Amino acid sequence: MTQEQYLLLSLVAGPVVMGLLSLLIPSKRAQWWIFFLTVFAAGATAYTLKGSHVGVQFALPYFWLLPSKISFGIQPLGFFFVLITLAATMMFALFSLGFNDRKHATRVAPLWAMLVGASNGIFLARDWFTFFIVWETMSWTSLLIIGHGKKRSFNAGVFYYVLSLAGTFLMLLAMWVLYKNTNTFDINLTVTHLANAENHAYVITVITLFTIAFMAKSAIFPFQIWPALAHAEAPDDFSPYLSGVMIKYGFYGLLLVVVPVLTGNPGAKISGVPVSLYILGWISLITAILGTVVAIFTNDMKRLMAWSTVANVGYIGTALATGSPLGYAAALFHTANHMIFKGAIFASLASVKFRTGEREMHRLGGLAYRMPVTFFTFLLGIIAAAGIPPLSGFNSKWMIFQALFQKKLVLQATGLFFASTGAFLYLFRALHTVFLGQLPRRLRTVREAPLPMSLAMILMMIAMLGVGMFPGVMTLPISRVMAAMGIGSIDVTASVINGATSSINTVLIGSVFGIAIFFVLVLYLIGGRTYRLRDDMDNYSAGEDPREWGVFEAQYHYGYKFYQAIEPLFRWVPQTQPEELYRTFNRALHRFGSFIDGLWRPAGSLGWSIVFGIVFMILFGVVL
Amino acid sequence: MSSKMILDLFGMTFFYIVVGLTFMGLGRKITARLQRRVGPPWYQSFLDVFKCFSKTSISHNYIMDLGLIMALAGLIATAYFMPVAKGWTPAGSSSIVVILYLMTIGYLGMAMGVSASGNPNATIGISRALALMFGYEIPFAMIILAMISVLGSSSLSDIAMSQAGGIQNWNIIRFPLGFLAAEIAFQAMIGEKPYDHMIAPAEIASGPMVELGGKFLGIAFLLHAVQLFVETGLMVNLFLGGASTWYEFVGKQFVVYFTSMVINTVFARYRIEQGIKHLWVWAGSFAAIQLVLTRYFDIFSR
Amino acid sequence: MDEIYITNLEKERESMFEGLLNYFRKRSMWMLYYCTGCGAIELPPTMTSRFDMERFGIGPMATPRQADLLLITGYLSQKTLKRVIRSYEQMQEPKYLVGFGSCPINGGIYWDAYPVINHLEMYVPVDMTIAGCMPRPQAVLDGFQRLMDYIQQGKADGWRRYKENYEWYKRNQDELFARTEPVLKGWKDPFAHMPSLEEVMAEEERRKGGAR
Repeated sequence: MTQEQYLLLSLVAGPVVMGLLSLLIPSKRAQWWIFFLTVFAAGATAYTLKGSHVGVQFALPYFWLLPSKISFGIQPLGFFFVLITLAATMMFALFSLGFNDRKHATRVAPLWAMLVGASNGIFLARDWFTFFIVWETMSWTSLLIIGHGKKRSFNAGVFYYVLSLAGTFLMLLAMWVLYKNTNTFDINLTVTHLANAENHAYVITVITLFTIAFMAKSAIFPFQIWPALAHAEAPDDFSPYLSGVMIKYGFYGLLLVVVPVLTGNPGAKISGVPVSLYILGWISLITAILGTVVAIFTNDMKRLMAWSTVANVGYIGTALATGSPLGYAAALFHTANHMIFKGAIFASLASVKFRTGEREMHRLGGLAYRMPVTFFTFLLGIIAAAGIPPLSGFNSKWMIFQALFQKKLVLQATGLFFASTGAFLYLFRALHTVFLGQLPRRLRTVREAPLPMSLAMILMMIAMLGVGMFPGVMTLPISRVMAAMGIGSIDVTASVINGATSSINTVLIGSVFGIAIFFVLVLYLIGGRTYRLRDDMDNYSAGEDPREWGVFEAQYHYGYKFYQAIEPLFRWVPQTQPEELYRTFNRALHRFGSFIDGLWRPAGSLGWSIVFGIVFMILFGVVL
Repeated sequence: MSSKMILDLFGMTFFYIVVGLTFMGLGRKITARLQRRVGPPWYQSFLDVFKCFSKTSISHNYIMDLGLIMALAGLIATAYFMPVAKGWTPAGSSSIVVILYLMTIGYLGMAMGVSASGNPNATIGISRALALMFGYEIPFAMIILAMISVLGSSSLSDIAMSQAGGIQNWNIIRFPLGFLAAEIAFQAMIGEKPYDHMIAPAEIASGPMVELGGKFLGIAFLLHAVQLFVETGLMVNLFLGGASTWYEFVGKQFVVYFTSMVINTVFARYRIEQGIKHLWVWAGSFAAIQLVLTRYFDIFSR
Repeated sequence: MDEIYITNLEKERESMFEGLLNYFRKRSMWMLYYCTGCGAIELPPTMTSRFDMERFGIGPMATPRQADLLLITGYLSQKTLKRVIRSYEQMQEPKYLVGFGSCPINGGIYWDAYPVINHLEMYVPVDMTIAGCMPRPQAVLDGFQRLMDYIQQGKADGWRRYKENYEWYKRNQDELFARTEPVLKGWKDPFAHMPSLEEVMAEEERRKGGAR
């Protein structure tokens, strides 16, 4: 094997081995340091491999029963994902290094290192067999990380895992069908086979199986429930990774399989969009709207942002489902942007929780006055998430809208406007309730997050601003990746994006905004003197001093039921509480189990369930 | 960015502020005349703003200062993207999505600044304003989508220029239902009755402005002035055929503002959820019918 | 009442723009009316079609932060005075206070009632009073125009007097408030054990100093 092949292999195997080795070390801090260094080493390795097209294939020793060899290789799309996920992971690792101090340290570092290896494996796998192995490694490591030794978190993790597993079975089925028909596991060959297949019903069936698997991973409707549980219950420093990186595996899968196949074999079309993509577009739109509306009325800050992730996944899906080069580019761009801005949002919430230990928003307030770096990270994060120029989120959102305008998908665009207007509602709610308003007295001693965390957050802010001002950093590589994949390209330069119906120059927008700020600043400075009040309760309260009535800062903070006035308007939306659904499912399973057990009591309580399970599995196999 | 452009931008900033403040003064005059009063002179708003800037101010923390600066800067920056005459914009580009989203940085700044003052009245006002935004953005977006689907361009200058050549080409004729919806949405956009939930002086002590005094209140006034310029300008460019000279533009803007002030004077305020429901049911259904007819049945478009 | 301090008007003309700014101040007076007594009923007719005070740029405002003019429209009891002072102190300078009707001047028909204050100017600086029980809209408008003249001439300087003679006003206020202390002291500050903001700031200063 050449040096490049070793490097490639080390991208996947390196973190996994380091993770396994660090399990032997008793010190938590040492584990986190090893994780941090491993991620940076992986990032550096990936950077040296830039521009290479190396592949590696080998049979696992002692596993002669396996039907295929293990093979990894650098392909444009996968490697683009490797680079952006590793760049984001490096920031998250730096953040975690600060987060896991003596008081907050968890034991998830080795698992997370293995997860990073598996994540690289997913993007580098060149055959379905390898893909399946690393996919499953990713699933169970993330399950254990979400669990992190807490009952409540483990339940959430199991819920996530079960949904994911359901998708995985369908994916396995699709792989098996493909293997039956082509006698190979190679991803490229099977995709070409599908793209050229005569029987369209067969193509649609296989694609649907894959799509459902990837939808489950990316929490697209009807799988939208797991993020609210898993993101919220995961370790606070892991949530950025979970929401930023892990939820994107599904889109990688869609771009890997579904998009090339439908480019070659589009079949019937509605509004110039292949029917299956059109349906996916509407499903994504439902996801976006549902995520938005539920987020507006959620009070738990991590859960709110989890719903916001669901909404953003909906945007990406809608963009992808336009079936045009602009749409694919918008989806990829928004994927990359969401990685950073949602990472930044979850990171700033993690530092709030790190300092205060609170997750219910109305119990917080006014933290901006005590934690400025955290506040600015959150602020820039929500500006990007709301799609306001000149930050990164605007550019990708603008591209999504252009993709919809191009295909004249006006109804979808209306739905997306609805979702992105709703985004202002929940994002501002979080900003106000956590960071602005009155600072409760018991939080007056809160300090800024420790240096590594602040540093990571500052890096994320720079990334958001940089991509916002110079989208070419992302769009030019995306255009190259798409050209290499043969799904068209987009017309961009470093600071200009040419859409279908107009174009924007981000540097122009930024500098025009700068001039406006300069003007207002002059105006501000020539105005009369400003006095800074030391007492936040010196506030208009109709002449009364609220303290005389026993109302203090915490009670004077408007945070709970922020949008109560419009709650009646949204009765039509199923405000499904994830735990409720989970419990219902649990109860139904129990009832079913008892029913089976009751069939014939003498065999013992557990025996019949097992027998039934085995019979069911055999029947399932026979049917297939 | 050339030096001429920077000069243009500075000059236009004063233009926006002068036009906006004059409109505010005239608006008060119109209201007064409709109530059979003499009313203040047309330059009253200038006096108010100068007075506000001459007073001392209090700020609760740095976020309050930052938020209000961001608010006014955001709206002025939005105005730079507004085509004035013959599709000319100071910033040289006028993508409508940029205008719609850049405008929100002004609202976000305002919301952030007044929330930082820590007064619950202010935050209730903001929560109402954001909720109302949910109401009017959707109809407005639908009308814009209808226009884009006909014209194939999402540049506001192109939309304005496409209506050149006489009143029969104006979008007010070509999209009558859309205009009706936009007019209702516009009333909510500039926060006049029956959609003035955000300010509601008698309920929540003027909402967002509750803690603003001195120059902060002055900035809030200028904010409203520029907001008036941007939103009336949006209506003129979308429906009233744009303009070939700047005074024609301002004249058409005044017509839009005059209509809205008349409506403001004769209506009372809705409750907040009634307001949103009204916007969705009436403006929303007009806009939806217009959108479907234009996009799928090709009626009204040419 | 020991003595009343009067400031030297000549000293105040520090700014060359003061005359111009005073013009803006007099032409744009936003008022906050403190409706304790019956006087507020005279304001709606003054504002509406018949007399229309908006033609002088005078209009109502919702909160003290925004207002220039505080109207005490009627009698003041000892307990409401606390609210008046809080509102007045929340207003931004320059600010003016108008005693409206005879009650703020000398107690009016309530002069001998135990909770009513007879001399408002002992506790807050009064820039102008409009006599009458109640003053009719014509009188109110006349009073406002007089106040506009005072503002232009720089004579309406109660806010400066209040700052310069704060000890005197504070002493008078405290004397009064001592009499309004509740007899039954019921409530307790639930966060009394927490450090105050000043203590936190001091702690931070100390830590910064130590680090440096």
